[in-house]
Amino acid sequence: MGQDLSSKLSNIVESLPFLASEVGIAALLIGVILIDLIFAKRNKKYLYAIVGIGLIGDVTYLSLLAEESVNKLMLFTLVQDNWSIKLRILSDVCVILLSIHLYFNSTNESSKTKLSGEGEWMTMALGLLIGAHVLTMANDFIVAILALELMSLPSYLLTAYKGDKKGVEASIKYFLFGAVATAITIYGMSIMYGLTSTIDLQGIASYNQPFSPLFITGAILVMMGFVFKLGGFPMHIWVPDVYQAAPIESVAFFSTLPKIGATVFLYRFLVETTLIENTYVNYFLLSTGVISMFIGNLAAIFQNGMRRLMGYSTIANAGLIVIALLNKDEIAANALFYFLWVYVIANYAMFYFIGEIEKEKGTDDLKQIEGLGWSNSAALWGPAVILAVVSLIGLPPLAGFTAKLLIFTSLWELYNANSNLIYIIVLFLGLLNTAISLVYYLKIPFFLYRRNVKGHIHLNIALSRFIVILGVFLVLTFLIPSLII
Amino acid sequence: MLGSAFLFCIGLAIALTKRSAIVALMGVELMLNAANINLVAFSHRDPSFGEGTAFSIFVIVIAAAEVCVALALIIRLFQHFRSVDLHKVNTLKEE
Repeated sequence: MGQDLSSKLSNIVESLPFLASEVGIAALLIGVILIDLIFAKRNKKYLYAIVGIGLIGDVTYLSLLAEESVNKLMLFTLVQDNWSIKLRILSDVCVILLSIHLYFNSTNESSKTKLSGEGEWMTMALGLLIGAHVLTMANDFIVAILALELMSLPSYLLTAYKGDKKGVEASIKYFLFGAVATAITIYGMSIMYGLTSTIDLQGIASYNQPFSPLFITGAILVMMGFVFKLGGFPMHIWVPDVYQAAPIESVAFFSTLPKIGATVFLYRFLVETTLIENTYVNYFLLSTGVISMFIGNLAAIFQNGMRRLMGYSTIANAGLIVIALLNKDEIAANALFYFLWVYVIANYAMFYFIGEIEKEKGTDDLKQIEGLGWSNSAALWGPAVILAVVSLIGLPPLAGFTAKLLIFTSLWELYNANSNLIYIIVLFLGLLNTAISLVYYLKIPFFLYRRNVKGHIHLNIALSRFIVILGVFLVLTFLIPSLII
Repeated sequence: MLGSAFLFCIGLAIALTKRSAIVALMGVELMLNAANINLVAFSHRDPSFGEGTAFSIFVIVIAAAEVCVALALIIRLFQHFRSVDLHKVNTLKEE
C-alpha cells in the first residue's frame, strides 16, 4: 500500500483491459437507458433483443478472448482467474435466458397484464449482472459488499415490479431480511478488519495466529449475507414468499443469478483466507447445509403451488451448495461450477414452464396441470419438463446426477483425507435428502401425466421450444460433461 | 468495540422485534452505524491508514441507497394496506 499516486494510477490503467466485459455491460446499460429515453411511446420489445445480442457478444468475448491474469487487478481488489471467467459466462447466460423469457412473454400478453417498462427491466437486470460479475472477481471486502448491494437493491425492486399488494408485501419482507443480512455482513467485516488491519483476502490469510473466537465469529457473520443470497438455513425465510409473489420472470432470474456470485465469493473467502481449515467454520457450514436441506425438502412435500415448491427446493439446493464449499480442492470447484450450470438450466426450464401454465390457467396450483401431458402440444415440452425435474432430483441419465455425484465425491474425499466421522454422516444425510426430494419433485410428472385425465393447453410456441432446448442441453451435458467444465 | 457491539445488538433487536416497518429500518441503520464505528476506530491501528475510513464511507453510501429503496417500498406498502404495521402485512401464507 505504500505506493505513490502515479504507480497506483498506472496499476489501474494496466488492469482496465481485463475488465472489458464489465465495461461492455456498463455501456450496454447506458445504451438501454438512452434508447429508452429517446424513443418514447412505442413497443420497446427490441430492447430485450438488443440486450440478448449484446450479451451473446460478451459471452463470445469471454470464452474466446479473455485472458487470465496472475496479478490481482485494480489495486489488489479483483481476481481474474479461469474460474471467474467461466462463471461470468454463466452469469451472462442467465441474463440471456431472462431476456428470451421477457421477449417471448411480452408478445402474447394482453395490454392489461403486460409488464410495462422494458427499459427499467433491462436496466435493473444489467445492474444485477454487473454486480454478479464483480462479485465473482472480488478479492476485497469493499468490492464484495458493493457488488452484493448492487445485486440486492434491484432484486427488491424487481420483486415489487408489478406494484400489486402481494408483490409489495413480499418485497418489504425480502428487503428487511436482506438489509439485516447486509448489516450483519458489514459488521462481521468490521470485526475482521479490526483484528487484521486489512480488507483483502490474502492479507487476512497472513493473519498468522490460531484463530481467536472473535475472529471466527466475525467470519461467520460475514458469511451470513452470502448465505442469505443463497437462501440457506438461518436466512431462508424470505424465499417462499418472494417466489410466490414476484413476477415469474424475476423469480426465475434471481433464483439463479445472485446464487452464482454468492457461491463464488463464499468459496474464495473460505479458501483464500484458509478459514476452511478451521473446525468451527466447518461445523457451521455442515450444520447450515444439512439443516437447510432438511427444511427445504420436508417443507416442499406439503406444498400445492409449484412456485412455493420451487422455493423450498431452492433452499434444499442451497444446502447442497454450502456442503460443496467444504472441500477446498480442485474437485469441489469443478463440482460447484458444474452444479451451478445444471441448476441454472433446470431452474430456467421449470420457470418457463410454470410461467406459461400460470398465464394460461391463472394459478400455479399443481392440480391445474393434471393430464396436460397428454394434450397434443405437449409431445415435445412435456418430456423436456420431466427431464428438468429429474435433473433437479439428480437421477441418471441427466446432468443433475453428475453434479450431485461430484459434490458427494468431494465430501467422500474429505472424509478420506480427514477420516472425521461427521463427513460421512453428512454424506448419508445428503443421500437421504435426495430420497426425500423424490417425493415432491415427482409430483410434477405425476400430475402432468395422470391417467384418464386429458387436459388441454396451448403454450407459447417459442418458449416451449426453449424448454425443449434446455432439456436437451441437460442430457447433452450428462453425456459430454466437457462441454461446460 | 464494546460500545459498537452494544449498538449492534440494540439495532438487531429493534429490526427483529418492532412492528413498524420504518422503525425496523432505523434498527438496520443502527447496525450499519455500529459497523462504521468499528471501522473508524480500528483504522487508527492500521499502519496503511485509510482503508477502514474508506470502507466506512462506502457503508454510508450503501445505507443511503438502501433507505431510498426502502422508503419507496414503504410508500407503496402504505398505499395498499393503509398501514406500515408489519403484523398486519401478512397475506402471503402457506397453502
